[in-house]
Amino acid sequence: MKTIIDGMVKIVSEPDMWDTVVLSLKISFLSTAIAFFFACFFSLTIVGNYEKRKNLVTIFQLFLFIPSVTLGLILYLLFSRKGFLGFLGLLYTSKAVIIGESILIFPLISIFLINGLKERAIEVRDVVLTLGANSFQYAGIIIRESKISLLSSFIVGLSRAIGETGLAMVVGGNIQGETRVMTTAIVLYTMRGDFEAAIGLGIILFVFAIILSCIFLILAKKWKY
Amino acid sequence: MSAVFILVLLTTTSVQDSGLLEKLIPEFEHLYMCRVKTIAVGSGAALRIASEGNGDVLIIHDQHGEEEFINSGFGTKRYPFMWNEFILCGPCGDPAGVAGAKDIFDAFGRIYKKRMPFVSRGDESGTHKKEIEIWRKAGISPGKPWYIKSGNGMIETLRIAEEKNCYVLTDISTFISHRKEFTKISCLFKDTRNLKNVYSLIPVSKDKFPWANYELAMKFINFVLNGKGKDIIRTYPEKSNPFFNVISYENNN
Repeated sequence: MKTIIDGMVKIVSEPDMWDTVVLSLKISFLSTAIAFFFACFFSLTIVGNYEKRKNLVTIFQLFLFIPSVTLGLILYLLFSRKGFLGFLGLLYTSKAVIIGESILIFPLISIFLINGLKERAIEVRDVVLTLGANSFQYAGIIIRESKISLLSSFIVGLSRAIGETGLAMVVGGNIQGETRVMTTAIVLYTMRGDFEAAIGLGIILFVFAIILSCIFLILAKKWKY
Repeated sequence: MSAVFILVLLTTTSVQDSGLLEKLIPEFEHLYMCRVKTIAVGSGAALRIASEGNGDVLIIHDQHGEEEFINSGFGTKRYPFMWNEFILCGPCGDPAGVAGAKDIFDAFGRIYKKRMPFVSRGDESGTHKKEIEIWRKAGISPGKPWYIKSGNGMIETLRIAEEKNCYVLTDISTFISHRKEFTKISCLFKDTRNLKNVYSLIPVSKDKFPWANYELAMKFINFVLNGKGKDIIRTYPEKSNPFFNVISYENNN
């Protein structure tokens, strides 16, 4: 019990810790937003003609099995000076972590979106197309009818992004102030034996998850029809 | 901030865990108005990453690896700048009887003779490589079940030793800074002649990697060898009991 209290005290008093938390939120939100953006396009394409395209989903699900560290290593090889995209100088920057996390959670958000949207998509398909809607209007209607699915998919993606450790370590280098996020900091403090700090950060992560869930509940209640 | 003012420092977890960098780096950043990006991994990884041109300067403690690195043209020159010792720790009762050994090779031999549990870093770190070298020179091939590899950092490995009553080779600073944690193991054997743990600075070669920030790397090296850096190391964590011994240079570069 003392350890947990020590942890919280340490967190609140160390300026570095808050940098880490803010950076985590920034990186996670950006990655999720980017992944979500592309996932919407992808998912709508799939559900728009689900019967014909659902086999793609099965293949796509395979990507979910790639361990994040492995993806991190692939990106390291890509972004390394020796690699294809080395000239961009992206290695060990927060941009690289954002790109990596976006790629990582894109399949996850997509699968959730597809599962969330497909019922609506199939239901309204005939009606909408009979009434002469084009693809964009069809997509717009699906979105409007499935706000909760969109929200929950976003949150799934965000929670995965915040919890991401392996990729952030390999591609980011765990650099204080630049790529040290909550999770990689927890690893560092744990390995060093600073359990108080590790637990403190873990609690903050959890508190944030609670806040997100509350927002979700409130919005879901508002949008329920 | 333009790339001219960024220095990518590749170093080992033992250097970072000692806390030295938290005193050294901000001072350097302040003096030279720059930003140092510190990436701490195992020695093996640091060498690998540097040899792919992803860093500007290295701090490591693996002489063999360093020499290979320079011979391959990835780095220009070795600048050994500080050292401490490795020590052999083990169960307080010293069942293998290493305390009476004449040198570290004899001590390792005694552990092997009785097949006493020994935990290794097993991670290609500087400490691990030193340990391997000692087994090799002692003519011993360690293996299961008494020899285990943790694949972890020094503190984790020490905790395993504490938990399972093993012998372990560790750098003295890590052990001392976590002294309070260890009740079942203690320092049993020292051999300053054979267990010197020397840290070197190596700038990454601009010839091989034109984007390397060689100028700033050399400024950092000068800072550590001749400038304020030297005093910081000498008095870390406190003047009377520093973790590292500074290597003096008369000439630099």
